[in-house]
Amino acid sequence: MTIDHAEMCRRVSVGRPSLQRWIEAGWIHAPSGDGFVAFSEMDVARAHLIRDLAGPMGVNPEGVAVILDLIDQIHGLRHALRGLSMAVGAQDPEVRRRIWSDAAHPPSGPSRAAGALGGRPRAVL
Amino acid sequence: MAATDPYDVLAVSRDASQKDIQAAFRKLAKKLHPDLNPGDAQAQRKFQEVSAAYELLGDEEKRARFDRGEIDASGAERPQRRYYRDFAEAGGASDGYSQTSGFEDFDDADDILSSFFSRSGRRGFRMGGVDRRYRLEVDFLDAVNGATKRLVLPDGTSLDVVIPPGAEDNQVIRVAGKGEAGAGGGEPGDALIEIAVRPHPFFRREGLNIRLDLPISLSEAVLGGKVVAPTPSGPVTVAIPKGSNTGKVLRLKGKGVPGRGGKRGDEYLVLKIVLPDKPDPELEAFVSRWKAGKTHDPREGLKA
Repeated sequence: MTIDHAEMCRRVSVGRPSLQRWIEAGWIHAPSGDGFVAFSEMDVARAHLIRDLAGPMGVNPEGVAVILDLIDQIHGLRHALRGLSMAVGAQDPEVRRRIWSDAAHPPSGPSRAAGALGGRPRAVL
Repeated sequence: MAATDPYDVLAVSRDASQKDIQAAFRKLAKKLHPDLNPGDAQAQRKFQEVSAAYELLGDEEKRARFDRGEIDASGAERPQRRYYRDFAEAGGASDGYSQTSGFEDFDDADDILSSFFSRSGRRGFRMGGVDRRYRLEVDFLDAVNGATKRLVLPDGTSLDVVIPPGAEDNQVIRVAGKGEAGAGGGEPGDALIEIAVRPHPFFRREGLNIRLDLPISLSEAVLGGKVVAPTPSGPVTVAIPKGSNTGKVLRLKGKGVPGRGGKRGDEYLVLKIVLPDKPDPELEAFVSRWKAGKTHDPREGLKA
């Protein structure tokens, strides 16, 4: 079924003015075009989160904005990190072992030559 | 579902104030909300328990009823909810929400690494894209005859939707691959377009058939004649038989809505005699001279 404004409000148990404010704040992306509307299931889940924060959890609008921004960053990082983990996981066992061991004890920064301080050779990605 | 004591869940005493209960909930929610703990698989179950407990105790009236034993802690089973974290990570940069600013300063770490991150790393795990749903209003005749309509998607791209002849109201047209992008080489979702057919000023649709009230003049009704009637595929000439009454139905075979397998519905014309807008002295003079008109009783059938 199409998720229009009314359906969104019903599913998230929120009033239309609140939804409008969230859209205006850029917290929820509004559908555009004429003759149709389309929120995704993802938009609904995000609106649910906003309602939890602003409602029972008592976070004020400024707080909601900060939290959403950080969550968006975390998901960007998690996405990239997961991709990196999978890529590392596909390497030869020896390469993998070296990468994880270097990750636990990072080699010195780029200003120092690799191998100075008796460090391990850096893993080649 | 085993009902855990909501006071235990929120770790408050039975005589705690509403304010204490709210504070206890907020403390736990901050720690347990699945979207604030994207990596914690346990968080969802625990948060649901805490939410259910707060739903009961956070409302003074419900709490009193619970204390009196009128309702138990199991409460009403809530519909399964999907959390934002279930979508957010999979979407990567394509969902419009997640950000890459968390690692933009990695530039000096390693060229290979930073280029890996900055192309938003949509590799490694595959996930099919989500279907997107749209609603498209189409004109009555476009639905009957078929048409191609351009839909502008939220991302600014457009999609040409082929409306098949005979499309019905609420019919859903699937356009493969036009939903949300997949992740890690996963297939994109589909666009599901629900058709909303606008009503027509004079055609009415009944399944594959079309009905139309066709006004005819008094002389066409009495003497018969050829008149032009509109159909969805264009005007046709229709012979009105002599002595046609209001309510008489004429069938135009094959002039209705195209159906499956080359079948086509019919158009039904419901005749309606219409007098001229202005009184006509000649017509009045004629009718007052017309003897049979005074004895004919069209309400014969209504007599008890």
